[in-house]
This record gives sequence, structure tokens and C-alpha cells, in this order.
Amino acid sequence: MLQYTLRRLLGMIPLLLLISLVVFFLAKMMPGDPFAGEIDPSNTNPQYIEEMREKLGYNDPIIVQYGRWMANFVQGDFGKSTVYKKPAVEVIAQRIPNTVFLAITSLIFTYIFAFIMGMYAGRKPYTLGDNLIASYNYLALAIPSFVAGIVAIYVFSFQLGWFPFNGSVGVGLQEGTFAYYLSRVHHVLLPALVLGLMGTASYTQFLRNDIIENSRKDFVRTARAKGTKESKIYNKHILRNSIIPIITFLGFDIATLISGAVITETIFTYPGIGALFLDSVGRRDYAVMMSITMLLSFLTLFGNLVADLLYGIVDPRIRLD
Amino acid sequence: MKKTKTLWSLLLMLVMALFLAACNSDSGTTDKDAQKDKETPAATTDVKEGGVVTFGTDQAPEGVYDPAFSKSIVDAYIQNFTMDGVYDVNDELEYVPNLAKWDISEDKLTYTFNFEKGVKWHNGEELTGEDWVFALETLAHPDYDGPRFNYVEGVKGAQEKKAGKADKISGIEVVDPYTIKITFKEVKINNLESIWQYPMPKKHYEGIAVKDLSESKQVRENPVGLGAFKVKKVVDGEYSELERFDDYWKGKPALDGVIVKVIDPSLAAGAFQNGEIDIMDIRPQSVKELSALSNVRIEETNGVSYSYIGLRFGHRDKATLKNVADFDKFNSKELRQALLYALNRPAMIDAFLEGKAEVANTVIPVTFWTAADAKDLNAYEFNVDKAKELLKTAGYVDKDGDGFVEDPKGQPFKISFGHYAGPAAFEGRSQAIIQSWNDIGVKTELATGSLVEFNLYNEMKDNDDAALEAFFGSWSMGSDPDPSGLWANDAEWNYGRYVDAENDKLLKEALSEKAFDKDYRKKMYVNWQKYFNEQLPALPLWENLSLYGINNRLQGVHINAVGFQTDVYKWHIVE
Amino acid sequence: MEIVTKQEASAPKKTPNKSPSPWVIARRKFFKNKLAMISLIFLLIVIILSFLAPYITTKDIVRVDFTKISQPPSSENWLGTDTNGRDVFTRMLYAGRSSLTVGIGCMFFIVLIGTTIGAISGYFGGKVDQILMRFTDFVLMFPLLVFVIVLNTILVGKVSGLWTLIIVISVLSWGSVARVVRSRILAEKENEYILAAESIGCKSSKIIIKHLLPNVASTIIVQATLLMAVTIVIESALSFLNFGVPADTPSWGNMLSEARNSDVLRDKIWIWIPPATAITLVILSINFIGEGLKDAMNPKSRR
Repeated sequence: MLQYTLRRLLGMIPLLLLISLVVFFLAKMMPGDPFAGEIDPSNTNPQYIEEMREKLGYNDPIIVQYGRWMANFVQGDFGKSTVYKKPAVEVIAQRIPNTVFLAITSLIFTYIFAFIMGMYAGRKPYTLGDNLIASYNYLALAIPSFVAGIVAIYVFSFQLGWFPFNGSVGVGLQEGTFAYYLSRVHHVLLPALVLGLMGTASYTQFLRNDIIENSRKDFVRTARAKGTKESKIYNKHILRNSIIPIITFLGFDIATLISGAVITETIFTYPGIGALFLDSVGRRDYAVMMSITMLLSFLTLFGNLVADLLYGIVDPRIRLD
Repeated sequence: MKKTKTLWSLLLMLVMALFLAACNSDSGTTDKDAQKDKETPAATTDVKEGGVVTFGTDQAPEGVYDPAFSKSIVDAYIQNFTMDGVYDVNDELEYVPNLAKWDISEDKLTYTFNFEKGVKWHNGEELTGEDWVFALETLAHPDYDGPRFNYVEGVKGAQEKKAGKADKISGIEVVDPYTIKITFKEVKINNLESIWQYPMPKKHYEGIAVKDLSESKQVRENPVGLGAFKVKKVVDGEYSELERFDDYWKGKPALDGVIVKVIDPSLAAGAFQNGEIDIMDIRPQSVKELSALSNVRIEETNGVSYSYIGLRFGHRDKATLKNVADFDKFNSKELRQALLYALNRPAMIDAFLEGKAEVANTVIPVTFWTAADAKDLNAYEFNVDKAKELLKTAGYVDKDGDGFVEDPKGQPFKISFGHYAGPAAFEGRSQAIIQSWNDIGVKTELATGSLVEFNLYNEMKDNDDAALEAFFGSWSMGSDPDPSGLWANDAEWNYGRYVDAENDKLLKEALSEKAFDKDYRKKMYVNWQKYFNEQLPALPLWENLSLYGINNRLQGVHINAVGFQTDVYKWHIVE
Repeated sequence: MEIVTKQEASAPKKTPNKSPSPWVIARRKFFKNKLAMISLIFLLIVIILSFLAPYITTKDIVRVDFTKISQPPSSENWLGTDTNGRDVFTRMLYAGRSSLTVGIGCMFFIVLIGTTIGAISGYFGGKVDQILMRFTDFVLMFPLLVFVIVLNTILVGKVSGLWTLIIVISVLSWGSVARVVRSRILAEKENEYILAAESIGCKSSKIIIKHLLPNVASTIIVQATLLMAVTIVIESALSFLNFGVPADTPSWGNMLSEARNSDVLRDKIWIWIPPATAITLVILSINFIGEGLKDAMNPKSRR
């Protein structure tokens, strides 16, 4: 297992380089000064731009520029935000906890609901309960998340007044106090519920279908014939097999959640990475925009790695390949 | 070249264009103000001491607390709570003393400013004239990286300092800590209007090199201001908490504090409804919903912003900084007039701005004392026949029978019209203009085939992109009535690159020494507007009304030309 | 899917006397699945209506009509008019064209690329698998929404439009299909019949197409249906954020973006309910069809 993990970690390095190359060239294609954030995009004086370009080394060969950019990036220098005039890494770091909190909370909701629904539906397929669960999941998949978000705000924030509809924390609360954390949880609940409940469909469907399929496999029949308890069959034999596809999903889920966050955070004016990303696009704050792109790509890669490692644990056959 | 108000304009335009909300307004609360009745009894009810109100903004502040370095409108909102200026603009858009009074010398070149005594900065230091001089010197410093150099440009010796040829601005003389003499380069009626008005806390900024100032903690994290409220806590991207400044020089503010909070504009109505926000500059689209709420009043006033369609006459030579008229598509005056006659502006206002705008036939909003009387201007009422007739007289007729006119030489004629992307209404608005012109037989197509992303659109305008033959634009004028920065022959923001001798002559005349006579100045501006109205170097569309939603519990809000944040220390809560 | 159906048609002819092939059973089962059949019929109707829009209605989808701004449904405008005075029903049809093109186009490209790479990788394993899977990882690393927005910032003003969007989405999102297909093929490959086929010297391409793909077809189909649904949602999300289909081309997403205005959301529901319903129903029906197909093709399934 350790050897496998190490091999996979080493395998990441070329990917990281590749992705940095793609991001670099994308940034290169943008108008203005996407890297350092030193050239003011609103200053159109050609002489000024030329001076800055020379000063920042944009007239050097492209390889040299890439090398320099990578070197800076590895050292944690992501350039400077043109809007906030702070290092991009600081601007982003400030928002990360919010997004991580939202992502984890909504993931927990997704898992809890999907697991309950998937297990139930898989054990009792084609019953009323299964059909209701299926209907719900189909609907959740079919209703665009931003419509759900807006409607949720109207119903739960405006009409019922249960949840706040914007921000990540109440105004004026002292950091570290109990009220502060409570307020943060309160603020994250609605977006997390929307994000989480909309994401159950794929889990539930896979879990259900796999449980059904596995329950007809020979080993289950054998187990049944041997008189193994039904609950043991489901919990041990079937679940173990059904979890494999779910686990591959975990990795992808990081990306899905982040993409979802772009929309959800925008609707709920929740100050996380997604909202920051759209904000930086709108304001052409390239250093922040490209750093987030890079960061999210890394996260996705990391997610995939985790998925693969988990896959290896669940199904040792795969690892040996 | 004068850019004073236009810089503000540019800044404001960014917001304007996106949100269709103007930023300044007139005291003449409009006749339609049905909320007035509600307001009067409210004023007699119990005034509550203290309390905190929430001020909604549709974008996050960038967190620059010194106006010399900020560019964002949201930062400007916060500065209006935390800063005070040398002068103020009153309801009639006249410049009146605030932190200082001034006398003008015989030759009209030197202004002597006498500062108020006992004005305190938020850190307890006393304000002196030197703080203001420090600000002016900073703006003229070669290392200064903010966008406001033009606010000291007119002072004698500022340009020399900027070029690194002098250590100090020669036109500034500190007579004593409270008396400052400023000598300008030339006699101009709006020298005062174009000088930087915000002092900088000299002690607080001590030891920071000018080049590092804009990124310093003193500007961005622990600012020191002069205004009724001071910054207490900032949660990036969410809200800024301001608290009362007890030693405010005009008197102790009534409120305990103000929260400036980011709200998605589409949720404004709901936020007002459940009391999440108390005051916000709102979009026309929200008016209907807000007026249904009993706890909120809407105040609307004429603003200082207007929308227009620019027409291309040439390009800007960036080396000589001159506009060159070398594009002749719109040289026919009749064609330009026909294009305006073709537009049903009242219908467009109703359709896209919920009726919250007024048809304009000049580019000086009626709020200004320099605005021409509607009687003196051609109203260009929607008239398709008239438009067609004008086209015919100018020789634009359909020769090949395709339903569209050819130019007088018989060549196919087509206009490429550009518009930026934004809320859903923009798509309809651009289409309405295109179809109106097609209806009178002038073939019009949407430039680039789709609405252009806003930043790119501005770049295209700056670079005289050939696709933008006609283009939608909006300006906010600030408080100086002089339109030269937008329409003078060599003005950078004269995006149509209209160059005309008469135009220049009239505008220069209105800034000349003779214009110190107010009546004469007004006459010149009226003459210019009549000329503009006849020539139509751009097609004026409408003036946007400024709209504000205010919770009834918040009183003492005075809406005027500068906006809705005058005398914020008087804001108070009633139960 | 395309390939699969053709085989289904040709396979039984060769063996008329034997018991019906799995594909025939599947087809029969599918036809018996009421929900799937209703969905299929519904989807076909929507597709036909959308693509024949110019023949069905003569109303202008572009022209702004000041006299008809935001009117509720009436006999003349069945679904009312939008904030620009255009007939909502007409725009719905044209919008369906854009949205379905995005959905179908993306599904086709994604399945094509994803299946090819996943199958090759899973079957051959070793070096090929290593390289292809690293490549897949590489593609999977691009967070879709974020990259579409970044690309949009670069491409804006240069190329834009429906097909650009389809290609960008497809190129960025085949990774998950490839991975799922690979993992399925890996598992399937362990079965003896594949070993048998290999031992008698069957060509690799034949093993993949004839033996492996049909056995993982259910997975591919579930993925494909999910994908078509997902891309339609992605299109609407992007359009909602102003990064999708150009604002002047009607699409369900663009129509929905009017609901960002809370006045429309609360008081003019006829403007946004139709596209929201259309998206929801189309995606529902696509999923039912997918589910029906899956059930039908599963030889062990009860129905």
C-alpha cells in the first residue's frame, strides 16, 4: 500500500507541471498583466505598459518567464491582487476556511441523505419508498441549483425567517466566542443544505443500483442459502462491493462542490473562493483568478488521488495492476 | 486637459452602467414622491438614541480608505462616512466651505484657505492645513500611484513636481498651520472645483514612502479619517463595521454605528422586508416590489447621470493626445437627427427602466444650474415619418429596393452598434435601438454579434475599436457642471472623437475669465447645449433618476446633489 | 449507444431460430416500461417542437414590443410575454433548440471520447493504461465551471456561440466517463469468458467492442443519460452567470436568468416557470429513459 501511495504521489508531479503549463499559457493569453498584478489594467498609456513590461520581464523568452512564475508559485508567491493590492495568496487564504466549511457541511448532508436513501432503496427496490426516493432524486438532479437556491432564500429566509440569506457570520460578533461559531453554522446551513441535497442523486442512484445488482450475484445467493442474516448480507457483502463506485465519486465530488460553490456562494453572497473567483473575473483581477484556477486544479488532482488510494484499499485487486 | 469630473465619471460609470443606478441626486424631491406623507408623521415620533443601521451595497468594497487611492464606488460610500472634505457641494450643486473657507485674490489666481480649528482626526490629532498640503504634495509626487494627479494638475508647479524637477509644488504656501495659499497656473472658473479636497492624516502616514502608501496598512487596514464614523472592523467580502466618532467636529453623531453590507441586488427587496438593510441605492427593477412594503420608503431624485448613444467620427491619436476626425459615416447632420427621431425614448424608459428616467435632449442634466431650458431645445419626439424624410433630404434613399437605404453615393449603408453585457434588460434595450433604426431603413447590426463583456467594452471604446460605430454609453457628471472633459475636442472621454471648432469655442468660453460672471457662464453653456442639440454629435437618450430605498425607522437622511450621504451624523432611528 | 443499437438490429437476423438475443429482450422490456416510454415520447415531442420552431410559430423572437412588456398569459400569447415584450412560448421553442443542442452535442462528444479512452485503458492496462489514465487525470483536474469561465474571459470577443460552448464543455468533461468505463472494464476483464476469448486469439478491438462494451453498456448508458441532463443544467448555470450562451440567443438558461430579478421571480412567474419546468421535465424524462434502458438491458432485472 505504501509503495502504491508513493508511486501515485510521484505520478502527480508531471501532472502538476502540465497543469501549471496550461494555466500559464491561459494566463499568457489574457490581456494585460495576469501574473504579477503590477500593471494597472485601467492605465492604457502605452509607454507606461511598455515600461512595466520591461521591468517585470515580460519581454524575456517564454521559457524563462514560465520558470520564474513557477519558482514564485512554489515559494507561495502567487502575484499580487490588482484590486486588493495584497498578495493574491493572502486574499485567497482569507476565503478558504469559508469554502472548506461550506463544502464539508454540504458533503456531510449529501452523505447522510444519500446513504440513507440509497440503502433503503437498494434493499427494497420497486416499493413506494424507493419510488419516492427516486422521484426526489430525479427532481433534485433536474432542478437547476440556482433556482433551488433562490427559491430557498425566498421561502426559508424571507417568508419563514429561519436562516440568514447572506454572509458567513453575523455582524459584530467576536471571533472565538460561542455565539460566533453558532452564527457561522447558522449562516452555512441554508447554502449547505441546498448544495448537499441537490447532490444526493448520483450517490443514491449508484448505491441503489449497485446494491440491487449485487444482491442478485451468486455470492449473495450463496450467503442466503447458507442462512446468513439478511442485514449481514447487505451490510457486509453487498455494501463492500457497492462502495467502490461511490468512492471514485468522492474525488470528483471535490471539483463538483467547488463548481457548485461558484453558483451557491454567489447567490447566498457567501464570501468563499467561488464568490471571490467570479468577483475577480468581473474585476479582471487576474492574479487572483489564475491562482484560484491553479488551486482548484490542484485540489481536484488531490481529490482524485484520494479516490484512487481509497479504491486501492477497498479492492486490493486494482492495486496490483 | 481637464479631467476632474470625468475621472469620477469613469468611476461612477462603472457602477452606473452595471446597475443603472445613478449616484447623485437633487434636493428637489420629486412630485411623484408619495412617501412624503409617511415621512412627516414619522419625524414627530420618538427619536431613539443610538442604534445601528445597515447600509447595503451591491459589491464588496476593495478596502481602500483614502480617497486618493481608491477607485471603487463602494469604497467611496464608506469614505463618505469616514471622511470630510475642504469644501462641500450643496443642494444647488454649488461649492460651499466645509473644513475651510476661502478668499479669491484680485487676479483670480490665488485662493487663500482658512481651516476650521479644533477639527479632530479619528486618532485624536488635530487637523491642520498642513494635512491638506501633505495630500496635495502626495498627489503630485512622481511615485504616487493613485488615479488623482489631475486634481492638483492645475496648481502652479504641480507638473514640475510630478516630472521630478521640483521637490515641492511651488504654488502652495503655508502661511500658518491654518492658512494655506494656493496659486493656480491659469485663471479658470473651475479651479476650485478641480482641486483635491481630502486632507491626509500626515502624522499617521509618517515614515511611509509615497510609493508604498497605497498598499500600506495605514491606508488599507487601520485608516484614520475625519468623518462622523470610523472603521471598526472589516470582514472582507462581507461587511465593514463603522462606529460613531464622538469627537466629530460638527457634533456627536446620533447613531452608534453603521454596517456597510454586501447584498445581492436581486435580493434587495427581501432584505428590506425583513429589516436586514436600512438604506440602499436601488435599481429601477426593485421599485415595484419595494413600494409594496409598508416599512420602506423610496426616494427618487433627478441625478447627474445620463445615457447616450455615441457616434464615431474618428480616432484618438495616443501620441499627440488629440482626437482626429477621420471617419465620415455620421457626417450628415440629418442622418444623426433621423437616428434620434427614430427612437421611442419614453417607451424604452418604461420598458427597461420602469419609468425611472427622463428623456433628455442635452448632455447637461437638469439638476445643474447650467442646464438649458427644455423650451430652447428640440425635443426630438418619436417620429418615424420625420426620420425618413430627413434621411431622404440628406440623400439616404433605398436604391436597390432591399428595404434599407444606401448612402448618398449609392453605396450600401450599415451601422454597427455596440452595447455591453449585463442584466437581462440590456439585451432588450440594445435590440430596441437596433430595430428602431432598421425600421426607418437604416441597416443596423449588433457589433461583434453579441453584447460585449463590460471591461472589454471599455477597452474597445478606449482603443477606438472599428466595430463600435455607434455605441451605448452612460456618464455621471460629478458635481462640476463643466462638460469639457467629456465633449471637448481633445477630451479623452469624447469617445465619438467629435471634433468641431464651434464646439470647442463655446466650451472654452464658458471656462474663460469672463465666465466668473455666473449669468455669462450659464449663457455660454446654454449656447453650447443648443448647438449640441442641433448638431447631435451624440444622441442623448435619458437622464437616470437616482433611487434610494430607506427603511422608515431611519430618518434624517438628506438626499441631494452629492448623493444620500450628506450630514450622516444627523441620521437617526425612530421607533 | 449508437453502435449498440445497430448491433441490436443486426444480431437477431443472423440467428433467427435461436432464442431472442439480449438486445431484443431489452427492446421488448423497454417498450413495456411505461414511464420510460412516456418520457421518450415527451422528449421526442420537445425535440421535434424545438427544431421545427420556425414552422410552428411565426412570432418574432428578437423584436422588442413596447406595447406588450411583461404581459401575463393570454389567448394571443399562450405563456405571456417577457420583460422585452416577446412571446414566451415562441422563445421557449427556440430556446429548447439551443439547450437541447448543448445537451445532445455534449453527450455525444463526451461519450465518444470517454468510452474510447476508458475502454482502451481498461482493456490493455499497463503502460497504455498508465499514460491514458494520467491524461484522464489531467483532464479531470480542470474544474469545469471555473475553466469554462476562464476560457470565456479569454475568448470573449473572439469566438463565442453554441458550438464553442459545446466543445469547451465536452473537452473538459469526458474524464469521468473514461474512468467509470475503465473501472467497469477492469472488473469485467477478470471474467473467464474474456480470458477464453483472448486464448482463442480474438482481436483486441473485437473483444472490446463485441464482448466488453456490451457488458459495460449499462454503465455507459447511465453515464450518458446523466451527462445529457448534467450538461443542460451546466448550460443554464453558465447562462445564469452570464458566461454561457450569448445573451441574445435564447436558451432555457438565458430565459431563466431573468429570474435573477426578484420582481420577475415573485410577480412575473410566467417568464421563468416555463423554462424552469422545461429543463426539469426534459432532464426528468432523459433520466427515466436512461433508467428504463438500464433496467431493460440488465438480463437479471425483474421487469
